[in-house]
Amino acid sequence: MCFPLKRVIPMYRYNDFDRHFVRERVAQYRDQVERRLSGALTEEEFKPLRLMNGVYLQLHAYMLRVAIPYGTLAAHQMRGLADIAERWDRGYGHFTTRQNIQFNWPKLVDTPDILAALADLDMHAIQTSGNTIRNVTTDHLAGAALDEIADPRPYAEWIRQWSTDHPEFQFLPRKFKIAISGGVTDRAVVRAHDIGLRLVPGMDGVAFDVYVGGGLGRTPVVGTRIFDQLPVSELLAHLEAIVSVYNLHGRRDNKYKARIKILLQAMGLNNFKAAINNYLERNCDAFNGLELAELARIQAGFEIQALPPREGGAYWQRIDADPAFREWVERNVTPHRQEDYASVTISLKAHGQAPGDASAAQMRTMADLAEDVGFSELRVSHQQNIVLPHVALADLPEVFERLRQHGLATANIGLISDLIACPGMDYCALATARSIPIGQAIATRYQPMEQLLGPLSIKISGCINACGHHHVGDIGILGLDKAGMENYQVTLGGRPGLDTALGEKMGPGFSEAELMSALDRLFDRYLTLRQTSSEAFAETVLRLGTEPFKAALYGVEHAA
Amino acid sequence: MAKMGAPVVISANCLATGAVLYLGPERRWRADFAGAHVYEDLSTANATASAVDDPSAVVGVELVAVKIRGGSTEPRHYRETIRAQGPGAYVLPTETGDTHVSV
Repeated sequence: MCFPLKRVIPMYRYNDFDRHFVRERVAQYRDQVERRLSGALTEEEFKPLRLMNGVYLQLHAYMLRVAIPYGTLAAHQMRGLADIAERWDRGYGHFTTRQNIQFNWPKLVDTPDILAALADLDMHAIQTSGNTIRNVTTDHLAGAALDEIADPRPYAEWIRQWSTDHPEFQFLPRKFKIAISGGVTDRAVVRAHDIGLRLVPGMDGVAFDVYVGGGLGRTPVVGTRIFDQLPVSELLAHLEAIVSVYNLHGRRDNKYKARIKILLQAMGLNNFKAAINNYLERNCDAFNGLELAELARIQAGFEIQALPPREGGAYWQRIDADPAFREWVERNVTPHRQEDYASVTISLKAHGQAPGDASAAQMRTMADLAEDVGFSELRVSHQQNIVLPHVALADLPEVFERLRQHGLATANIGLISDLIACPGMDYCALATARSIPIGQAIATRYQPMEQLLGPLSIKISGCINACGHHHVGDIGILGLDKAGMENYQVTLGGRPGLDTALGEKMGPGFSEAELMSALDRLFDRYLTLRQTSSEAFAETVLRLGTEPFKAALYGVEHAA
Repeated sequence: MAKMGAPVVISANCLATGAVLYLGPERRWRADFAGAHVYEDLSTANATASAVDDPSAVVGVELVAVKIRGGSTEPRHYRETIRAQGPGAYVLPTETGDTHVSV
């Protein structure tokens, strides 16, 4: 086996200040837990403190949500997460649509030790909960994508540093989510975020198109572009202005109307922009250039070097000889900016498994692969898969074999079984229905025909909060409680890209059994109506509208 | 606490571990739903829930509506059934995941 030379991983590295800050927070939290257990703090007093450190109380147990900044992990960090899963949890973790990881079974008494272990890995759980700016998400192919305008990760890190423990933004009216995309194709769903940033060509090389007021949840709204080609030098000042206006004017009397999207609708775009400009005028000296020096420091850490050239060798022999390998490559491997390399998406959606879950052994397998053939770097995608962004074509046969040994070589990226599902009522205290068994039932039921169905996204949320992004799925499924029974509402025609569209609600919901029959009819109708075998489900729905598919869902004959 | 009709059992989560607990007949917390004491009288249940709400031991003491069918007690709502039983075994990952190839 011939592995490429090791090299410095292009990612942010903690300095002494960062390490001190995180360890200090662990010490504070340890003291808070001790005071809670001794009775010195009431639950009412303690709850916001534990939430600030990512600790929730769910249906059956506590849950710890760990931040994975913009979804980027070093191999040793993934291995450390595996160790945590085994030592303090039940041997697995759940990768989320916010590119984080959740542990579903930690004991409160162990959480200070877990946070200390995370600190040893230069990781933490700060601002993974609460009404603060959450983990900034981005393109899982950043730094590797063929269509990249600029690597979004240095800017995501810059925003992370600005927003972490920001004294003004720890008690916003509601949680606040930012996403940033650096490719021509939006792979970060930027218009479904409170602030969405898109890198575009600009005066100084790159600039930002800024979208505000997007979000899913109870009131789904597609973000509105508020600034075009905003210079990089003005980004943080504008972010600060937007969040400050929201902090001042956002509603705090009703949590269902507290997100910035509601404020934007209430104020109107012009008034909202006027408030931002007013804030900027009054605070014109808030950013004095030091932030740009910090950006330069961060960017130096992300500088992308040319990867060592590699001959394709074994790859070309195997691709011709092995249909299983060929199918995996076609589905799970993406072209890289350097032609002798590729990005590998490791599916965490083996048929019948809980979407996004990985065992400790699987995490170690992925960490080992990253270390051996992937420059020690991994990404968590918002589709709940893991990506090795830089793998030489010559190493793909080896990667495939090693993944296959650990149940990680499912060749289904972009197919119906590559579905997103939130934890749902199997874990979540907010859920109104289960998501995981619905996802599993769909994945196994349609496994025999998923190649026939072609590209198709199903996104499942177990409650109105929409952690499963159901509004932007080709098919969205929302689990609700209808008179004490689990009931699943279907939306069709959602899209996550720059032309974001919210799925259209079809009608009354279904029981689980009814849902499967309804989907059978829906797919029969699609296969009948598509013009060619290469017309994707989304394209057929776009061409014909949702009516014929709605009729199919409800078993109504349609003449089309 | 939400208003509900009897019969009920009393539930909470363990402060230290987060585990789901039910109040047994001896006013001791236990992990199994089957061992929960059933209260036919709501005011007695509420008074007991207040009495056992020790914030240094448990979190979120609440009444859970149940029904008695064929001599056995079941939660009325599926949420509480899931809470009592834990997530289905289907949530646990395996390393024998498929190596699906359809060609």
